[in-house]
Amino acid sequence: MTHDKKNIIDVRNIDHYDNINHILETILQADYGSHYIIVYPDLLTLRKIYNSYSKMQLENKKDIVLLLPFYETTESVRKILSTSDDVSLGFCDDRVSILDIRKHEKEGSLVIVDSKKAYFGSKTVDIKVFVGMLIEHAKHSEKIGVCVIADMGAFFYLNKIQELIKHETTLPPKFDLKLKAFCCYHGSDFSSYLTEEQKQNLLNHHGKEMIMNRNSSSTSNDNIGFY
Amino acid sequence: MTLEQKSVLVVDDELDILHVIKRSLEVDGGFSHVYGFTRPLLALEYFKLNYNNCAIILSDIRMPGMTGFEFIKRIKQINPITKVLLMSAFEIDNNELSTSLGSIMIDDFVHKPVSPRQLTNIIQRHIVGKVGNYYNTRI
Repeated sequence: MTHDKKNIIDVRNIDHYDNINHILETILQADYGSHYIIVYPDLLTLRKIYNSYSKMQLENKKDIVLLLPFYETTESVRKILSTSDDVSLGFCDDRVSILDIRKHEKEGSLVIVDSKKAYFGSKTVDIKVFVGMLIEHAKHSEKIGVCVIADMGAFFYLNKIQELIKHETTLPPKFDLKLKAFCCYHGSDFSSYLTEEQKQNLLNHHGKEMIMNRNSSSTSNDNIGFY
Repeated sequence: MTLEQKSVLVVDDELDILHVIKRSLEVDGGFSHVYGFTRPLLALEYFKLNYNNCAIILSDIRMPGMTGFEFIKRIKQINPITKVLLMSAFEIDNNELSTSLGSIMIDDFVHKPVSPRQLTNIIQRHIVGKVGNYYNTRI
């Protein structure tokens, strides 16, 4: 597949909230089979994305949501999903609500697993197999498919860059499955650990690319990195 | 320069956590020079210029761009006797620690969440030198 520039959603130099709205609109409109890459500038941004997206997907009751966080604990994710929507997000805040995490996890519509455990924790259950099992489970539980928001930070943390490239490049830019997968990369990981060739290789193996740079972050102190 | 006048360097990619730690060390711990960084690379740059004034370093482990392990390794290359504490909200087993740190020793490991008072006490104990090195086997 050649790199199609038309697929790049370059949201740099756009207001921060518009950036998140733009990404949310794009992933909410994603069809089954979508395999997108999101390069996010900070954890706050990722939280806003998965928080709004998960709540809307779970309220629609069509899909199983699989969240694979890395830079925060699964408990932190549960806490965020359990709280009221961040009004500063300014996006669809009248349509999302506080989630009953326990209920959703119990009925299997929400699965939250630490990314490191998901990708490297089990020698017997590969993440791809696990997602396949969730797709099967969706079929038998009056749902249509599965949405995955995965933070790929575990690969960098464990210095598994080649494994990351192999993992991503063996996945097609579009799945022939009832699956929507959003691979999330922290901007610092993406720029620090990957060569230009590796970055391009990763981008080429996703159906759509959403890149937010640090300038779009709302946390000015974080931009400086010194407090 | 007395120990109290020396600086404490804190690295955590989450600004809110950094703020809480910095404030508790300043207000409860009485440290007048607490420097917080959300980016390990900038903390390293600061340390290269100021390692003589730095009493102790407290670093998160899971950070984008550079892990806490890599950060500590580089700190030790600059000044092997600097006291370093690692902190994490995640379970870190012996294997992960020894694989990641190799022969590098840390002075303590702090499990998050930790109360500001506990953290202040831990750092104060290390600064006055009442605790020894922290070995991998203690996790």
